[in-house]
This record gives sequence, structure tokens and C-alpha cells, in this order.
Amino acid sequence: MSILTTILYSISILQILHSGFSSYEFHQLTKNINSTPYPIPKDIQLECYMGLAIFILTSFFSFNQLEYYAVQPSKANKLSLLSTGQYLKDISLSKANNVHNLIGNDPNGEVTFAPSFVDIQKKREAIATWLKNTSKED
Amino acid sequence: MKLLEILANKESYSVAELMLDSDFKKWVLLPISIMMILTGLLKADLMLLISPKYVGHPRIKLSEMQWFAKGQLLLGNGTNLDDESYDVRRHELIEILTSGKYVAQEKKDPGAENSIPNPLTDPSINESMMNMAKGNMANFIPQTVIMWWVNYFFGGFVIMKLPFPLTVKFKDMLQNGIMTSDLDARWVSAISWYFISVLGMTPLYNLLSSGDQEQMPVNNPQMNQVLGGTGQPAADVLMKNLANDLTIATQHESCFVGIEGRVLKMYE
Amino acid sequence: MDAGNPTGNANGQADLNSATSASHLQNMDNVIFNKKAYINFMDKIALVSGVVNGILQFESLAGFRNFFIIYFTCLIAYILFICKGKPSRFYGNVINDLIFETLMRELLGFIMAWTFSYALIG
Repeated sequence: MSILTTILYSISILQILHSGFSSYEFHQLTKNINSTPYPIPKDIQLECYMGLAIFILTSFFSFNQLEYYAVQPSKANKLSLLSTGQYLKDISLSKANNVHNLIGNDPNGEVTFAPSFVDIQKKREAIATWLKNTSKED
Repeated sequence: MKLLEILANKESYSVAELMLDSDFKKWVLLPISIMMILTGLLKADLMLLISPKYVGHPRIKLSEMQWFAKGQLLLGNGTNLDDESYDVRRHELIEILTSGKYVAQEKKDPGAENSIPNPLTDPSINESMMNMAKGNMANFIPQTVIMWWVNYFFGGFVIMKLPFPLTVKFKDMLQNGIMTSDLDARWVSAISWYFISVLGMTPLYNLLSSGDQEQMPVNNPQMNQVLGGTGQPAADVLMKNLANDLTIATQHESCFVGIEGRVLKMYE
Repeated sequence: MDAGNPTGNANGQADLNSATSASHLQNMDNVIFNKKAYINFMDKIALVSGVVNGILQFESLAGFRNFFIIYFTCLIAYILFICKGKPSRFYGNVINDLIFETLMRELLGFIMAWTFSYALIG
């Protein structure tokens, strides 16, 4: 929840509480004067409606566009926050995997990185050459 | 004119107005509400504590299950293989399953072989029954306790007026213990506030506990099914049956047959 | 916010066991996420509108009418702005997920908040 929504939420809740207190005082007063019910004063009504409207609008604003961290941060995008511009997540599996593609995550990684599928000798070779190259650079 | 208006107003307002002490709100309505919220949250935490733990299986049992699953998967998804690799896998699995190589051997008590296992002494069933009982207890004990508490301390008087009219049939339940025959059903006692909050508290609990209410690892009964459990044929029998099925399943249609033609047709 | 997982451990890929037809595979995590977002949103609105109804001392039919007006207005706005007009992308069974599963629950929550503030103020 961002600061703006927190502030808006607190304003609306304060408004509703205040109008509730005013309404309470008003009813306590009128109860003792007359048995016929008076209409609630306009300002209390207005404040209450305003509070409700702000609250409902804020609940819409409180939906943030979903953001994801990229697996490999790029130079152009330092924070490496990626977004699809959506508030909710796609449910169909093919669409849901788009997010994995976006952040550079292998959607089939659970299978392809399973120990029995990994060519361990090739991996060791790759690491050995990498180590050799880096030590040369030093 | 004004008198007429007041009269008309009074007529439309047929519900008899009662003057209630405003201390009822402070000392009855609020305590019951606070109590309901607190017990609801406590119950949620309690349920989390007594929720069933994940039950593991020994490794031999797992490999037995997985060999069985492998056979079933081959039967179900065999079309994705070409003829040769399908046959190789089929023959290997038939051999393994019929030989009963991976059937988990359990230590059996001598003399207990022929007796039918008593379902009441089976520990796994006992545990699941215990969990169910615990869940039920956690649900209904707080309810009965609070109901008793409300009835005992706050019974016998009207505390509030409902904003909507109710039929006379509700009088018995909602005005329990109030000796008036013609009071409108909108004036209700403390127990009816209890009922309303029992029904309507779900959204409030959801909001109060959202965030830390993570998805618990569910003990999926399907994933956890052990071969040869109670009420099932023994594991080796199941494996032999599966091997028979595999022997019969010689009719194999691979999805690779004529795939070139189909792909070319797609891009025509 | 999801942190990227370099091992590619895409947890909760799909409920392959329950979804038999291949055309309708669903990512169960996302289904739960969307439902939760909607329920939280509606819970808030139902409770606050109940309190407001009680403060303004609405009675019987007027109160229920207000609830349904608020509920369905919010539902339509949710579909338009949050789902961007395509609710079927986020909810498998739109009418059931967005209306029938929540209406009773929100109505009861609304009645509780309404009764509470009505009694407290009146």
C-alpha cells in the first residue's frame, strides 16, 4: 500500500467516524426533544457520503500494477523492475508463462534443471573454462 | 398544518419507540463484538496450530509408488513416443512390474498374517480421525462457550433495534426471555446480535488476518495415497495388473507418424 | 512482487491432475491470487458501506437497495478498470466467481456492519 492510498484511506475513515459521532450526538439530542424522527442534517449526510466515495475510490487506487524483478538485471533498467501493466494475473497457463519469459525465467526449469536431466560433465567443463578465463584476466 | 404533518409522520412510524439506556451499547453491544472478533482471530491461529502435519513415507514406499505411476503414465501418454522407444519402455516396465522388484517389503509380525487389520487400531486412520475431531472441537467449543456467556450475562433484556423488519416467527428466537407478547420483532436481545455477528464476521476476519494468511502446504490426499493401503488390494497385485495392461497395450499410435506432412500442410 | 527464481522452479505450474482438457490448463496460483484480490476488495467495501448505512439510519428496503447499488456499481467498475474489460482472462467462471461466490458473504457482512452502527447511533 503506497503512502497516497494510506493517506486517502485514513481521511475517508476519519470522515466516516466523525460523521458517525455527529450523527450519534444529533440523535441523542433529538431523542430527548421530540419523539418524531428528524431528518439527519445535510452536512452530516454529505460528510458520510464523501467518506464512502473516497473509500471506494481509494480501494480502486490501491490496486497496483504488478511488477516483477528480472532474473538478469540489465544496464538500461537498473532496478530491473518489469511490469505487464496488469492488476491481476492471467490464469490460462500459456498466458501465465509470459511473465516467466518476461523476467527471463525458464518456465520448464523444474524439468530441465532436474538433476537427472543435467549433463553434469558439460557443466563442469563450462565452469572449468570459465575459471581458467577469469584467472587469466586477473 | 404542522400538527397534521406530525400526525401523519407518527402514523407511518408505527413501530413503538422504546427508550433504551445508552449504557447498553457500552456494556453489552461492544463487549460482545470485541469478544467475537478476538475469539475468531484466536480460533484461526488455533486451527493453524492443530492443522495436520505433512505425513511422509519411507523411501522404498515412494519408489514403489513412482514405478506404479510410471506405468500408468506410459499407458496414458504413450502417443508422444515413437514406436521403438514405446516398445522398449513397455517391455522394461512389464519385466520390472511382474518381478515385483520394487514392492516394498514390510516387516510383518509372525502370526498376524491372516488376521484382517482392525481399522480402529490403524495409526494412519486414527490420526486422520483425530484431526477431524480436533477441527470440529475448535469450531464448536468457542461457539458454545460464547453463546452460554451471552445468554448468562446479557439475557433477559432488549438491547437494540434492527434496521429491517422481521416477521413474528423470529420473536421466539430473537426475543428469547423477554416477557412481552406484542413487542415488535425488530427489538431484539443480545443473543440475536451474537447470531448476526456469527453470520457476518467472515469479511472482517478476512481483512484483519489478510497478509499473514499464507497458503499452507495442503496435505493433498491424492498425492499421498499409498499403494496397498487399507481397503485396497496389495501393492504386488496392483503392479501385476498394471503389467497385464501393459502387455495388452500393443496397439500404439505415435504422434510422429506423418508429422512432416502435417507440418507442411499447416504452412501451406 | 515476485522475485525471479534463477533455478526456474516455477512452483504451482498447473494442476495437471484436475484439469483434464489440455485447452483449459490453468495456473492455480494465479487463480487463487485473483480471487483473493477480488474478495478483499469487496469485503472492505461491504463493511464500510454497511457502517455508512447505519450512520445515516437507513431502514429496511432502503438499506438493502443501497447495498445492491454499491455492490453492482463496484462490480462493474472492477470489471472495467481492474480487469480492463476482459474478466474472462482472470476468472475462469466470471459470473460464478464474481457474483455468486461472494454476494451472500458480502451481504451478511454488510448486514452486520449496518446493524452494529445503526444500534450504536440510534
